[in-house]
Amino acid sequence: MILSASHSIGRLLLLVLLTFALAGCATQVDRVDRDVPGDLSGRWNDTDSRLVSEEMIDDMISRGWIQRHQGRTGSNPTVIVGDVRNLSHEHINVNTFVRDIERELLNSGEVTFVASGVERDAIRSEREDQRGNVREETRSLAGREIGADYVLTGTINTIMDTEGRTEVAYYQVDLALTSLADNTRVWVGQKEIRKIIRRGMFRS
Amino acid sequence: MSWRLLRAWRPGLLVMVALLTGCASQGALLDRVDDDVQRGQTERALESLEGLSGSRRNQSLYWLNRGMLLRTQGDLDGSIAAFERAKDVIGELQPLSVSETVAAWAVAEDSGAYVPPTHEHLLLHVYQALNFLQRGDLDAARVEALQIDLGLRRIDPVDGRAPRGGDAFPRYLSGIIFEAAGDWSDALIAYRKALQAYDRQETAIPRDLQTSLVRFTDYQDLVDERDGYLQRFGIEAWEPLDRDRREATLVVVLHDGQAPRLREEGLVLPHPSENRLLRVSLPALQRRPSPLTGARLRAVGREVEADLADDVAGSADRWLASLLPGITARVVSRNVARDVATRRLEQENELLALVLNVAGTIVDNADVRSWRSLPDRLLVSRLTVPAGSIDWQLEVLGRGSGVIDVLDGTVDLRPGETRVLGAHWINRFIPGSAGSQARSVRQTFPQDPLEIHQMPGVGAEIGLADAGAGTDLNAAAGWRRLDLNAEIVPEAE
Repeated sequence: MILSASHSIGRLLLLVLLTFALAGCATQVDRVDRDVPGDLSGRWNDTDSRLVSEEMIDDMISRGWIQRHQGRTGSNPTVIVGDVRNLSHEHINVNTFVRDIERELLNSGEVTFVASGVERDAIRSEREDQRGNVREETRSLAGREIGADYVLTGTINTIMDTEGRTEVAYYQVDLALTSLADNTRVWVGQKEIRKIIRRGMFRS
Repeated sequence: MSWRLLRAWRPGLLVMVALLTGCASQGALLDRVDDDVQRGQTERALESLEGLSGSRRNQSLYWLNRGMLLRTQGDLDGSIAAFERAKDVIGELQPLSVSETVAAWAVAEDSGAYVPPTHEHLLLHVYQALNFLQRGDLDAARVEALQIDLGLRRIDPVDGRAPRGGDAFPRYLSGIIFEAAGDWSDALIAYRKALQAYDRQETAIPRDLQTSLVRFTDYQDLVDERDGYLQRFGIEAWEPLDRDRREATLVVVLHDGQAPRLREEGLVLPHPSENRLLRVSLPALQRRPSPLTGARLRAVGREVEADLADDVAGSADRWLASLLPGITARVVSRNVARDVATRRLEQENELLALVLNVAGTIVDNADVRSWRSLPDRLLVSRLTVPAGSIDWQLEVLGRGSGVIDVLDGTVDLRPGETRVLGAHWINRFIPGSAGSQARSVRQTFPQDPLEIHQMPGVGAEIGLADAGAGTDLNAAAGWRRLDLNAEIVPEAE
């Protein structure tokens, strides 16, 4: 009887070990299209960043300020992306959001876009480095940068509401385009995202 | 037959089981980490901690301790990444696990994943905020302040209170962050909540918080509230808030000592009427008092005494006291469950019943896990200083208010800026914990070597004190000693 019990226990142990061993080989990577929403935690993610930047830049370039600028100067407005502050309750990678904005602005073809502060320093350093190191006819000269007409700044804010295991996260992104010449606002845009997050009661 | 065997071997078996039950591996590992930290060897502590990295149920503990050790070492980026990982892991642990709950009732207290208690969870945000502040990223520190508020509102949607305290300093620090960010309405709300929390905990209100409440209510023209604070705190003069002020603010947070250890207290005893073993094991806190009695911040001829802002050990005490009834109930239930199962199996197979009873007794450990790399307490001092390059000095005071250690450094401040610095002191300043701009200037007291004798865990150095040669407490950490009475101790080489 002891023998049969120990056989059963042995088989059971083997089965448990096998299950654990197979479960250990379960890493899986699926490549998905960027348009497929990938909400895992309910936090701000790449889809939010992209959708907000696309919609806000669409709105920005469809307004009359571009035509007014072109009518006044005869050229496309030059824009620089300034400070976008994260005032939300999450650590949002503002850099990726700024990159999304820059890409949308550039691809619109309606504005001329100049590099922001940190990048400018690196470019100037590179230009300086060309002095004496590259053939004269291929060298980029200093003092030929284009000054921006407008600076785009903004904030990302959140309001959170919690009730039991359900949370409502309300994200509000505010962007403003300000004339560097006279500090007048030429465009103000706002985009909201509302997420309802229901957290499970149990885990495995 | 096997019970006859058990009866014959019972004394030996009891000794064996008692020895085996002492082998709580994670407790021993955390002890090693503690000891390394106490010796100032954070690099070795990190290596020791790696023993926890593969343990699925100790992931939160691993990342919490790793974050703190990296921070103590001065690796702020590494600490930030580790603390973010800790947050993710803790977030995944929020839902209940049925299997772990059942295991805690039936097998052992420490069979489930480690979910930090509220005061540790709040301190995770506090330390992350301090990391960001020391890195100069105020917006990111503000995120942590908002997460503190959100976390507390998840616990108490109406008032945002932590049921067993531990929320006072997180609220107070949030106020400092909002103030530095220029969000003065939020700052006042946070300061008010901090005051309420200190009152609930029945601990002294830091003098800086008292003054801040007066300044902010005065700025908002809340005259009645301001006068109430003036009367309560006996404040007669204060510096009004000014959006365009030319001066800057230096805040130094001193992290003193090591948080209490959880120890297992229990016994294995034979069943009074049957041939079975029972085990009662409960966690108990072992405090590790620090010789530090206070601290003083000096800069540009001004000085301010640091105040106790967070009694981490006190929070741990309250947390454990609230848990003990539940733990005791589970200890009883496990013994009953084990006893019933053993008795049933005994009728079919005495040997298996014996194995079950002994094995169950061995694994029934108390849960002695906690975030041990936290300090025993936090002290805060704030000083208004002129903008520019400022030399500052933080003096650690011992018995009789004698200076037992000094940390000094230089900081560049812009007009209106609030800069928060931190330093970890565990019988000595931990190299790197206050950033590369700071260096420790250790004072020695050959005239009062008994002062040194009070320090726990520095046995090797006591002999030096007795020899009257001036005590180099840093020698154990491999630091350089320069003279008998005051050693200039550079950052870790």
